[in-house]
Amino acid sequence: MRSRPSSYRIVKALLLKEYLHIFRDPRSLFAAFAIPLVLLTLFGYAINFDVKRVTVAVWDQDSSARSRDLLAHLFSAGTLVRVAEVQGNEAIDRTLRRAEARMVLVIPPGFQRSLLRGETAEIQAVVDGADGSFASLSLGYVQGAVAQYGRGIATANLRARGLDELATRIPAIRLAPRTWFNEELESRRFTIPGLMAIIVMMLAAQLTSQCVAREFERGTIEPLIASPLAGWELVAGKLLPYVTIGVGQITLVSVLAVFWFDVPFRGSIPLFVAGGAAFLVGAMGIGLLLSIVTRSQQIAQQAAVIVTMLPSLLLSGFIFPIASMPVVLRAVSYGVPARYFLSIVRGVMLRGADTRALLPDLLFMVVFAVGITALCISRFKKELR
Amino acid sequence: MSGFAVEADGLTRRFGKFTAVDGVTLRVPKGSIYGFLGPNGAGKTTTIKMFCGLERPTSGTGKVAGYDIATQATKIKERIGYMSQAFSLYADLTVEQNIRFFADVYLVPRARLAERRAFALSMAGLEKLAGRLTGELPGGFKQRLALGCAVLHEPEVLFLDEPTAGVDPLGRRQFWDLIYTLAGKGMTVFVTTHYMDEAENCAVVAFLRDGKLIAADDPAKMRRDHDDGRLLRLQVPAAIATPEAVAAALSSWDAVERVSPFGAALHVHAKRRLTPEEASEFLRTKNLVPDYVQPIRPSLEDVFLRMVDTEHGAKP
Repeated sequence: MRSRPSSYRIVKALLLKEYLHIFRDPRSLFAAFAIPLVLLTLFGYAINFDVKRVTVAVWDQDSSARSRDLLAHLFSAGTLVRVAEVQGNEAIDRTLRRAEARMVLVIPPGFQRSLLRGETAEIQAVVDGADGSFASLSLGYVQGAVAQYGRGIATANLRARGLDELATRIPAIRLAPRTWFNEELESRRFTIPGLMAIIVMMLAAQLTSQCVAREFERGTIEPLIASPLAGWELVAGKLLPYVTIGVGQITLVSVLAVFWFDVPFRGSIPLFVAGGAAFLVGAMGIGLLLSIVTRSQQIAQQAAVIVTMLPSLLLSGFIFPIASMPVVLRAVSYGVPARYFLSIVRGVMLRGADTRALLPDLLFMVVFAVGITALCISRFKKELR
Repeated sequence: MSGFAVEADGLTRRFGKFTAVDGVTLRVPKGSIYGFLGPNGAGKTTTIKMFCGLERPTSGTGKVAGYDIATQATKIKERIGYMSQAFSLYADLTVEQNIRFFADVYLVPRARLAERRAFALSMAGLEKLAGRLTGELPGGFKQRLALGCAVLHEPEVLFLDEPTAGVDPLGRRQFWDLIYTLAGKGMTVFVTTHYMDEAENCAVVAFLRDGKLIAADDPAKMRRDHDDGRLLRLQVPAAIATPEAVAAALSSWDAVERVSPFGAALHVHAKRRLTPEEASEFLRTKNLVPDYVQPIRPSLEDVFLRMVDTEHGAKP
């Protein structure tokens, strides 16, 4: 191995050269910062797991004081919006089919009578199941609202029977739905940090997938291979400039998340940046490795998209919780750097997690970064011999 | 350390079943210009790449600047300059930035930096254009700048792979003047080319065919050795017959060994000493009246063609 000052000089020269390439092409540089912002904004609005406004048609067969009271209760919050009255199963079918309403509430005859007798009364909610997640979210909402109403009736009944003592205990066991870290259960809070990780991951590997392949394609790699340059010097000189750009991207999307989407930032910024940098080395190492192996800008870029996009989306825990994956996929997910970054972004931003809490993720990420860098160096050394 | 800058013994490189370089053995004296000639695909580039550490030999050994190409590649890389066939400077960097980059990567001592930069710029004739984007320079300037960048660190051995391909005749002259200057300072230059006039400039010329080295010698001596007095140059006016038709007619004559086209003229190598009159007479019988027939001494190209021809190339 060469003396340290000369390695420093070589890496610095490579680094400066890479920056010159980058700044010589301002459009690519602009794209590197504009694309993550645009993607985050687009997906931030598009991917939304909240129940905001559910249109409801009503078939009140009981048409009693009680049934009207229940309906008034359900529609009082404004989440459910009463848009039509229907009668008959055919009407229900038509309403849902034409999407005049996304849910139909049916109150059967005898609803009030059952309640007054102290029996369990049933009502029916019919939803359009074509959109599965919407169906389950809106059903969940209605279920909660109905249960709340039911408890009110139950306590009233007990009081009516003179069981006041018992009645006062009921509110104590009433379910109080509370969600931590995302109190309003606003899904955007949860999706935005995830999206940040996915978007940065996708772009990171693509950025570096070009840099060595371009030198192979243009033949400029030959004088480098014929020079006394060491493998690790080249890998360092190629990775570092892009890691700084990546840190810039992360900063930018974080600012957008916090100031535009109101995502809280509860943890430490240095921890966040350190985690981000470790993640970028790994993610960009993937692109660099593809660049060295394929020697083609086009193939390397396409491979980078394939290798990073799907695993990041599906196996990082962004869409499907890792804990509920089959064992094999859970094992594969350890090789998806977005997984660690996702948990760091969510942890630092939403939970204010400290270094100790995120240690496993940080460690895995560092191991991944070191591993992929070592792979790049050994692959490039094969070129150097 | 021996007196040779480059040595090879049985150097061989196979790609699958194809043998690109086949048992090449050569010696390049220090400070000389060594010309490496051969048709496309003869293995010139692969040989150079093995010397520069860009390609690994399948078998055989080699030394550059006294270091083994198989085990001491790093030592070699510190002592060689290499200019590949493709233009390999960064087109989107300025002249100055390219010089600075290669000076750093090749670890030119900082104290010598200013001097070497000035040398490279003056060599390329770009003193006033240091801020220009390299990609915008005319071809000849690019080549000379590439040469300048390849010798910034004052290498002991300089490898040039077809440095003048696609350069106009004046540009080639200027380029060779630079090669002379460098060799004059003691640098060994190993250069591949397929221009015969360039080969004449070399101290030693080596012919490569199908990966095998078929001859290596002083070009003047090669020409003398092949001067057997049996070479005639002749031309039949194009109005009478095409050179191909004339060549075909001559090839059918049992006194003729081989006929090669040289522009509009033909070089005829006979099996015995022929007088111009005999040849003219033969052509007249075929109704092919020549403008002239004259005995000539073989050029390097004649020698090359004779050697590349399988039958004669096999002879030592």
